[in-house]
Amino acid sequence: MDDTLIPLPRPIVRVRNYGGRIILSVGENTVELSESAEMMWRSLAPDRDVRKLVELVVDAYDAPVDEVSSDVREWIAEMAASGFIELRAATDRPTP
Amino acid sequence: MDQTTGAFTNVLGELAQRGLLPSTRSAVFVGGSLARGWAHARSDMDIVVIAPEPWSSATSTQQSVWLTVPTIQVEVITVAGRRWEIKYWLTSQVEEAMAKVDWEAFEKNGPPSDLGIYETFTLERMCHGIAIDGAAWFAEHRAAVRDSALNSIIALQHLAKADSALEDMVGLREAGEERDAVVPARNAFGFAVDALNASRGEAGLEPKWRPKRVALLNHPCLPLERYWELELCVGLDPRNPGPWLDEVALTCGRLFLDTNLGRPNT
Repeated sequence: MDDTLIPLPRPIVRVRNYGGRIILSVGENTVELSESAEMMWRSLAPDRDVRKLVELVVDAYDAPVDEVSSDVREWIAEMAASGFIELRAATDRPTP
Repeated sequence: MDQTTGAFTNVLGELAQRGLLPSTRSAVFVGGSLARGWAHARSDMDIVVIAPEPWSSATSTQQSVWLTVPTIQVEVITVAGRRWEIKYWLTSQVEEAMAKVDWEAFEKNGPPSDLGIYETFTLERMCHGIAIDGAAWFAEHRAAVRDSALNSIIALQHLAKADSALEDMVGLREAGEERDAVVPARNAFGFAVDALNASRGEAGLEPKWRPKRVALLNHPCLPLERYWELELCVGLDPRNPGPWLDEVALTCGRLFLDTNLGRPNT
């Protein structure tokens, strides 16, 4: 996965918080976020590319970079494939 | 002894004098902006009379509710230049409406499909209403409504509207209608804020009081200044609305995360 891609939540994702359980749904797909997944989901931002997200998780969990990097990339790929996340190139701007 | 505030001491007398007060009552309360201290000179006085027997008069009109007795009565008068709207509910109607917002039913079956707008309004107004008669009955029932799933049910209704508005925003952007997409984006933001407010106990249905609710709740996830920036579309470039639309969509998503639909303290 390209480190400079920017993962962002797709606006059409339904987000529900049931007493701290975060449930996302889009189309036929539904997922409950784990604690770490929720932290990553909350951290998605236009100024945070894949590399920065990995750094954030490494700092948050004080975990080995290689392991975190692999887990974060896998999560992003899965969430993108399921339609929860869109991956934008850093230069992408909405069409005027 | 009934809890009566000085501002409303004339209400019962005025109603009695005009022949608009049933002889037997469970409670009478003032709701809406006057009860909240938010009213302006043109605000209505919203009064709810709850009584065991149905109200009937030559001047009343009806509103439909989704209850066993399917109507409530409404009287409208003007007192010292202010419009008073008096709604007459049966005690049994209020209790039937309250049963619809029970936590167990909500957690098991989701939001009730038969909770009408007038039931919602009245239950919500009970939460912040001021009793001018029947204070003990009112306090007991208000506490039950405050402890119910009403706020979560209303929050969920707002979330559904926000979801729908975001879908519209995305659809318009995909069609190249970036400027048109600003309209549903603004709506989505409003509904997202309303949902958040509802989940924190401020489940108003009227957008005009949204800023007051945000100020009152002082959300860590939505400080008042940030709220106003988005409400007033600060930073929106009419020639290139895309970045602003992105920002609104992302903010809505974050507000959704903090809109807790579960029981309080969960």
